[in-house]
Amino acid sequence: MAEKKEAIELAEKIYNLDNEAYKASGSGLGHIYTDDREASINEIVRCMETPEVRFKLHQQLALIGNMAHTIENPIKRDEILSEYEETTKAFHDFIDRNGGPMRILDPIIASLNSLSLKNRMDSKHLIICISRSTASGGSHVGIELAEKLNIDYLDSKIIAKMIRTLEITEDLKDTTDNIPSAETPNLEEELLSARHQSGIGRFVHMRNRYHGLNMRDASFFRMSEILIELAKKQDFVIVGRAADRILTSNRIPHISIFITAPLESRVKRVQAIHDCDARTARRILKADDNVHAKYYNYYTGLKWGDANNYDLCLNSASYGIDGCVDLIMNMISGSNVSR
Amino acid sequence: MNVPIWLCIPFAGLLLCVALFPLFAPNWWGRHESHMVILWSVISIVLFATQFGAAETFHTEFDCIINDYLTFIILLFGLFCVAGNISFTGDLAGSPGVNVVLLTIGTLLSSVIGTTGSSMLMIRPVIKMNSWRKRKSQIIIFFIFLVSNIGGCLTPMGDPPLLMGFMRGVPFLWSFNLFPVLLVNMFLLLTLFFFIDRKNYRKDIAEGRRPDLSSVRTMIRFEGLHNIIFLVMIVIGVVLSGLLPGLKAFQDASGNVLGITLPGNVSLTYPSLIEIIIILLAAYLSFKTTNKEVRVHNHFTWGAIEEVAVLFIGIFITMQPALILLKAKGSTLGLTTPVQMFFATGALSSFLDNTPTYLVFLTTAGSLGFKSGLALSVGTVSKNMLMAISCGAVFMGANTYIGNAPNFMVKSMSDENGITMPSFFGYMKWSICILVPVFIIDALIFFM
Repeated sequence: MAEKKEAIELAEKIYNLDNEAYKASGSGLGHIYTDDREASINEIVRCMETPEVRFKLHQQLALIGNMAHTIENPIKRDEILSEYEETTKAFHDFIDRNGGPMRILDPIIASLNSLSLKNRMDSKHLIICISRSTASGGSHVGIELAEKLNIDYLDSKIIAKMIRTLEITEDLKDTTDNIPSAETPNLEEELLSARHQSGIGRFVHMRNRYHGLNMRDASFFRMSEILIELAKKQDFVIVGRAADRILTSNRIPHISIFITAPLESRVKRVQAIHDCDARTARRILKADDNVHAKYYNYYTGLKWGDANNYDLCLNSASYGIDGCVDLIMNMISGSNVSR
Repeated sequence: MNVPIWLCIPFAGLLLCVALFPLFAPNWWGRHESHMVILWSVISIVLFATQFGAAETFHTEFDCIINDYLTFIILLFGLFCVAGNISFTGDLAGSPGVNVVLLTIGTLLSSVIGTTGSSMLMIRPVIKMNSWRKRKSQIIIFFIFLVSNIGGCLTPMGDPPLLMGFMRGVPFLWSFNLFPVLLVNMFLLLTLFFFIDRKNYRKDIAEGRRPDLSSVRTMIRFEGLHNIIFLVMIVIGVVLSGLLPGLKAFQDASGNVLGITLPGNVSLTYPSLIEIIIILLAAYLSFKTTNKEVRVHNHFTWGAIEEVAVLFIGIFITMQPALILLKAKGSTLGLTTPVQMFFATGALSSFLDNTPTYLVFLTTAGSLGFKSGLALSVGTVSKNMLMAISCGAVFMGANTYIGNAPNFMVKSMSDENGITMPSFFGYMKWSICILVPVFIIDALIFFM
C-alpha cells in the first residue's frame, strides 16, 4: 500500500512537472501528458509498476528535462530544473527499491565477459576469443594482440598439433606400460604409421582411439579439454574453433570478438593474397566462410557471425588491423583483467 | 459367449490411469499404482461376474492368470535376471553413429533371442554409453521401436505371435520372408533416428557436455558371459512350450494337451510347466553362478520388474472381455485383404496382447478359403496375408508402452537410470508421428 501511495505521489509530481515545464517553455509542442490528469497519472503509475515499460518513463522524464532546458526565463528554468532533478532522483530511488529498471544486462552473459563491469576485478586470466570472416584480418589481429600482450596465440593448426602431440604421448605411455621394454624401440614410428595408414586400418584405429566417435567430433572434444585446461593456467588469444562457446558452456570468463569487413574489402584482400581475379576470390571467400559457419553452427547450435553471440563486433575495414588491435588493447587496459 | 462392449470399460480405465496419472500426479501414482491396478481389476471381475456368473468369471480370470500372465511374467523375470547378470563394460561414447550401430545389433539380435531377451541384454549398455548425454529419451524410444518390437519378426523365437504361428504349421524359417520388410523399416527408422539423435547430440555438445576420451583405446569387456548358456536355456524353454503340445506324448486320447488340473477346471499344461521350470532354473543358476559385483555394476534392482508385474496383472485381467470380444467378432469384421489385416492386427496389438490378436486374425485368414499359400492347421493362408498379419502383430506392438512385454520394462529401467521417458500419450505422439508413416509405407510397398 505504501508503495502504491508513493507511486501515485511521484506520478503526480511528474505530471505537474510536465505541465509546468510545458507552460514555462511557451512552446506549443513537447507536452508529454496530453490526457486528463487522472488518466495521465494512472498511466504513469502503471509504467512505474511494470518493469517492462519503465523505459517509457525514463524517456518521458528525459523529454521533460529537454523541455525545461529550453525555458528562456533563467529563474523559472533553474526552479523547474531543480524540481526536475529532485523528481528524477525520487523516481530512480523508487525504481531501485522496486526491482530496478528493466535491464538489458544478462547476468549469465555478463558474468562470463572478462570486460564486463562486474568481472573487472576478478578475472583470473585474460582469454580473448576471436571469430572472423575470411580475409577480414581477424587472424592478424589475434597474432598482433598476442604479441603486444605477450601471451600465447592459438589457432586451428596449433591446436591440431597440440592434440596430435598429446595423443602420441598418451599412446606411447599406454603402449610402453603394456609392452615389455625390449619390444618398444620403434613404437613411436609404429604409432605414427598407424595414424597415417589409410583405408579400413586407419578407420578401425581411429574409431578405437576415439571410442567410436568420428574424428571431427573427437577432435572437438579433445580441443575442448585442452582449452579448458589452458584457461585454468594461462592467458591466450585463440582464433576460431568456436572457442568462445566452449568457454561459455564451461563457465570460463573470456572476451569474445567477431571481426569482419565488407565483402568488397575482403575480396580485394584475397585477390592480393592469392593473386587471383575477383570471381575466384569471391569463390574462395564463400567456401571458407561456409566452412567456418558450418563448424560453428554444428557445435554451438548458434549462428556464426550473429552479433548477439559476441561481446564485441568489429569492422576491420573501418579500423584496420592496427586500429582493431589498439581498440581492443584500450578496452583491456581500461579494465582490470589480469595479464 | 456374448460380451457386451461396456465390459471393456475397466481396461480403458486402467489404460487411462497409466497414461494420465504419471503425467499429472506422479508422486501419488508412485504410491498408489498397485491400489489402482487392484481397483480396476476388482471392478472388471465384478462386472464380468454380474454378466456371466461367479463360476465362469473365476474360470476366465484364473485361466488368464495361470496360462497367460504366469508364463508372461516368468519369461520376463527369467530374461531380466539372466540379462542383469551379464555386465557390459564399455567406454564407447554414445554418439548418433554409435547408437545406430547398437540399435542395429539389438534389432538383429531380437530375432535370435527374442525381443524381450535382446531388450534386457542391450538396454543397459545403451544407457551406459549414453550416460554423458542429457537428451537421450529418443534413443530409448527408437530402442523400443526396433529392438523391443520390429526386430523380432525374423524367427518364431523373436516374438510370441510367430511362435504361435510356428505351432500352427508355419515353417520355422518362413519368417525370413519378412526380411525385406524388416530392412525397409530398419533403413527408414535408423535414418530418422540418426538425424533426430544428431540434433539432440549437438544440443548436448553446445551445452558443454563431452564424453570421457581420456583412455587411449576403446575398452569393451563383458562379464558374466557364461549367462549366455542360461539365455539359450530360456529360448529353448520357450521353443519347447511351442513344440511339445504337438507331440502325442503330451496329448490325451482326444488330442487335448495334458496338464495339472487346478480349481475352476483350469489346466496348467505340462509344456507350460516345463517352460516355467526351465526359465526359473536358468534364473536360479544364473544368480548362483554370477558374482554379485556384476549385478552391482549393472545397477540391478527389482524395481522395474516389480512395476511391470503389478501393472500387467491388472492389464491381463481387465483385457479379458476385450479379447473374448475380439475372438467372437474377429471373423465378422469383413477383413479380406492383406492391408486390412495388417492394420487391424496392428491396431489391436498396440493395446491388447499381440499373441491372441495374431491367432484371431490368422484363424480368420484361414477361413477365407485361399486356394494357394501355406497349409496351416487353421486352413490355407496366402503368403502375403500371413506376412501382413505377422508384421501387424509384431511391429505395431511398438505403438504403445503396453503393446509388447519389453516396452514397459525398457521404459521402467530407463526411468530408474535417470532418463526422463515420455508419458503414455507422449510416447504415442512419437509412435504416431514416426511409426505410423513407416507402417503406411510398409503397406504401400508390401501389402497393397
